Amino acid sequence: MRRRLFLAAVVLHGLVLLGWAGALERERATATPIRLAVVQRDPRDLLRGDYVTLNYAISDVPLHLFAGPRPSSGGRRVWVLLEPRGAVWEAVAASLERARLSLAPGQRVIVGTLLWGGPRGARVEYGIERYYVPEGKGTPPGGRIEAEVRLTADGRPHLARLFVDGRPYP
Amino acid sequence: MGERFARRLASEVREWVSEGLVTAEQAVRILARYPEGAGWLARPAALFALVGGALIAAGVALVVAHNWENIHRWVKLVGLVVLMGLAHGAGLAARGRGYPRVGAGVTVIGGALLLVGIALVGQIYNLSGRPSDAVLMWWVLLLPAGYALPTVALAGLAYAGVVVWFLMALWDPATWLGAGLHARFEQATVALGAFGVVLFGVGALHAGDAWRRLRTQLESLGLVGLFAALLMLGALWREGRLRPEPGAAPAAMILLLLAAAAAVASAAGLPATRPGLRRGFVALLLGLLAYLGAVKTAVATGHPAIVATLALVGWGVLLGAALGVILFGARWGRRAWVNVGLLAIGVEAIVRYVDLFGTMLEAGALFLSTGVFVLALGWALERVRRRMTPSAAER
Repeated sequence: MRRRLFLAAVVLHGLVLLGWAGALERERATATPIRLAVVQRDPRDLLRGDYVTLNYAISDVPLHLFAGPRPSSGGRRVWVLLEPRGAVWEAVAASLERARLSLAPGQRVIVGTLLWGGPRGARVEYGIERYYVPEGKGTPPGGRIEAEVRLTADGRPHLARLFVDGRPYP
Repeated sequence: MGERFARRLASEVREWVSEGLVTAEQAVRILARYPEGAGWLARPAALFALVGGALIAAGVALVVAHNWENIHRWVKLVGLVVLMGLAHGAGLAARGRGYPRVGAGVTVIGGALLLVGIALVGQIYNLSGRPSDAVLMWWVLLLPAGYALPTVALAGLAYAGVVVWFLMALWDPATWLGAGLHARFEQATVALGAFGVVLFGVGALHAGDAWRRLRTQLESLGLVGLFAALLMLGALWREGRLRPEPGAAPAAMILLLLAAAAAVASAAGLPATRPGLRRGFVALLLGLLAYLGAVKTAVATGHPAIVATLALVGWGVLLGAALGVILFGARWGRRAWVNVGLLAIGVEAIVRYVDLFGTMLEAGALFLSTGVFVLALGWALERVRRRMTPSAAER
């Protein structure tokens, strides 16, 4: 009996891993692709191999874009309204309450987590700040970096690809 | 049978005969039951099998590593899940054939592969969520497997995950725990002490010989967390950093309440020698939690005089707690408690010594005198330890 319980737990481990990957695949396949400007990057992750830490233009949201309560302590969910400006999408409004943002045609909303807020604005993390690259290729060449992000209908982002001067990297 | 075991048995049996525990004839029969044989590693076949197996494993690893980028993501994932299943299957098989330690070791590899799998999904899909969430997912999945078989090694690995997750979450401002306690060192220290009591309580509930090692590890780890928190509060006081910091920290309060429940529940797992003793020990734990709660409240509500008083009292609280743990540990044959209690007293004594003489002596003299003090302290504590654990028997 205990042996069966243990085997059931091990099977569950496998199912969770495969099911999780399957759910991510499905979300990515149905999400809308947008491009975001990357303003800074930093390589390396000891646990999961080489990666590039990305800092997006929309990671720092100015205070004047916020509707409703001012961002203060970290940990809260933030909704940021994006609009295409040329090749990339930029933040045009933000709020700690989803209901305060109304979508105009062509706009999309992205969900992040507030890291901290201050008198000048807020620092937001979207969960797309790491891009894993082959071993030894953690530092992209210099140039204009953009990230292709797939946004689900409810605003959850998935990082798909990186572009350096318009060409896929690596 | 292993060479070392046979030699040890022969020496033990000689003593048993001289003490009259067994007759000479019985001694011969006991020794005949466990004949001295060469270690398995000394056999050429085993040695070649080991070297060959290692070379094959290295070759497979190199082939996979060189082609990693070209392997489809689903092949990577399914391959890892199959490896994980094989490890657990091999662990079960080894256990069934009478090699429980080998079985436990291979099962631990299976448990570790689950964490590798979580990291692999994170890498494939470029997820950059909170690292503590990955560890949380790992131990939540692993713990039921540890209890299902049951296997102490796997459960121990899962609890190691619990500790790592707690510490990661505590220092990460993006987590619920970290958001309330980040950059508030006093509150985080109180939370660490409360977490220590939670671990201790969970450990104490593991009754029976099968769980003895896990219980000892969790109890020791819990006590280390508790004493570390008390020592850190003392350090904060010394550096003048223990100041009122208005603002509630609900995470620390919730942990304190959880710790109080764990302390009360731990009574069920303590030895039933005398009910009064168990109540006394639970009262000691609750008293320590009350102290941590008072520090938390004083720091949060901002009464400098109360904060200063509590900080001063802290040194006595640490000493009293360590003595209490040593005495209860000696009474109940919990060697690990005695060791952790003595360690806490030792560290506290060294800290106080450096506090007292740190600014009074030249660097060279300070090092020399501290060295002599530490040696003398170690000798004295070891004497106390030997006296407190005469039977040296873990119950």
